[in-house]
Amino acid sequence: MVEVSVEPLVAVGLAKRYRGRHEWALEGIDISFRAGAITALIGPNGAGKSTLLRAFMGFETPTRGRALVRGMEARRRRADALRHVGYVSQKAALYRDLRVADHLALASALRAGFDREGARRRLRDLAISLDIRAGELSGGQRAQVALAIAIGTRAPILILDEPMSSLDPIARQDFLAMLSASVAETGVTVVVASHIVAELEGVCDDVVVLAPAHVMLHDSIAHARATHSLVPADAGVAGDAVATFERAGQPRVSLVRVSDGGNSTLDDLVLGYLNAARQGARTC
Amino acid sequence: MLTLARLSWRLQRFELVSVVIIVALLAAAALVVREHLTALNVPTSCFAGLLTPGPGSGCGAAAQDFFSIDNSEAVPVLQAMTVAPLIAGILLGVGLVGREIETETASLAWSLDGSRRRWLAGRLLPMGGALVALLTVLAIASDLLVAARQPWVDPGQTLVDLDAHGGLLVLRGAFAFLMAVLVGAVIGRTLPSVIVATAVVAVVIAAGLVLTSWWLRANVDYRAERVDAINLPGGLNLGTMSRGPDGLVIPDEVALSLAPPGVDPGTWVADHYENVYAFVPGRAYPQYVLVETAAVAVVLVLQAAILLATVQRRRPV
Repeated sequence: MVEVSVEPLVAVGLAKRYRGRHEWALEGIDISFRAGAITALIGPNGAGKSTLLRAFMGFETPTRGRALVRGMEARRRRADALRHVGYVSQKAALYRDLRVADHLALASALRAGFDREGARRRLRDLAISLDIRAGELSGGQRAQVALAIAIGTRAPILILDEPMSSLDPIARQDFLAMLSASVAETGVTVVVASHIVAELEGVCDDVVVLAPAHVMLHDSIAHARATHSLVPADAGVAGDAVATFERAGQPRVSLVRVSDGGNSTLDDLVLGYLNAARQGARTC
Repeated sequence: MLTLARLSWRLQRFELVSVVIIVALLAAAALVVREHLTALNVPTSCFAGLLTPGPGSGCGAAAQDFFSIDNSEAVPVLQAMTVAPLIAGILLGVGLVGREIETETASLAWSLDGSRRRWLAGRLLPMGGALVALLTVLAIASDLLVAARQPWVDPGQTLVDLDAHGGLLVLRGAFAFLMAVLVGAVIGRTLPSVIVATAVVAVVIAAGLVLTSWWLRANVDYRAERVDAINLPGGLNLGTMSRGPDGLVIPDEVALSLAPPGVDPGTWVADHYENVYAFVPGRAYPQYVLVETAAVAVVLVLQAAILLATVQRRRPV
């Protein structure tokens, strides 16, 4: 086994096509997630966000290429690779008949070094009873329990696969607060897939915009915002246009690359690059 | 490991309680019927008087009562004993991996422990251990009942109730269990897995019956005199056949078909063939147990290997 990288998460030419499907879920992606950063992985349904994250978990066998966790191929050295990863799935699936405390006991039994006391403390802080069955928790509470378990693994990498997709705004806020507090405390590397762009802006350092099957943008949010501007489509501003698109009830606008002094928001960036993908652009 | 065992039992509490109830009811029924039979205190000589021609010992009525209870109570209980281990195995096995995939909790468990082999062992052993313990109770109860319904036979030397008693029940239950776990792991949905696992187990058991029948035929013996439960203790009577002057034994219908045209086939066969009774002696039972144990053990190892490979490659949703 050749360890080509010790970066937290690296995809090398990663491609995936599901059996019986004509289209590619991922088409030869090369990406490296920055250590210690929270990266927002944003893209529409079917863009391949979950496939990418699940490849890092060793849950998917790449059709081509490799998904590396700290230089270890996730699929082949799953047991070693996953020691470095905490994971929250899309549904934040828990055992509905087990109590929250049982989940922490299960995590302790399955993961060496699991921080049971820390997880208990986090859940108590959120007023989630340890004696309640998971089936009786709200969607937000389930996500909090799943996140507390992932953080409790003390893994240096957290992979969160759209954990907030079914949460209400308050639950999302609590979730992100818990995530931010943990990152501030431990400095872990986080990749969080989501549709909800606005709330990620204040929390994430980097952004990856994944259009169907390939990466459209990968940059730090601060840099990307500073180097992109949203201008009226007919303004004729100098710059490299990413895409021209329409927003509901507003005149057509263009997202353009500028050398500095950009005025875009994360939402503008995401919309611009997703529209670029729709219009046929293939790369960042 | 203890935590995993406790949580495994809790995760499958419904199935476990169901199997405990099935086993408890069936074992209790076996012991009650055994008590009914032994309470009659019928001496073996009474059975001899009833089953074979010749002078009876004057206690035929008691033996009649014995066989009445045997037919109405013992037979149904032993029939249930043949299927109960299979039902128990399927019930406990099908949700073990299948439900984890169906409810997507596999992604939680498999992200916490990257070694799926260890995880699978942690789930299989507590539930498999519980199944083996419960079926051992059933096996003991069935042995007691079989011994009571044929008091003239050494229970370790009888082919009667071959499918319904002893340690083989435990092995068959273990086979059904692993098959159900495997089907659940492949399909990843509980209800379809129950249906498919039941069908697969039924097909394999039917194939096993065919193999058993071959094995019995390979161990057949012949006697000129009539054989029955008394003068053939523990043996399996396979019916009458025809033995020619060259010593070759053929089925009666084949012998009849050999009669030349124009003669009465029955008379011709009676003149040229000796009517013999085909049977497998009860002493063959330990050998049969050994053969089936070895065969099932091989199947269990294969099942475990396929299951492990399936779980290793399986996507968690």
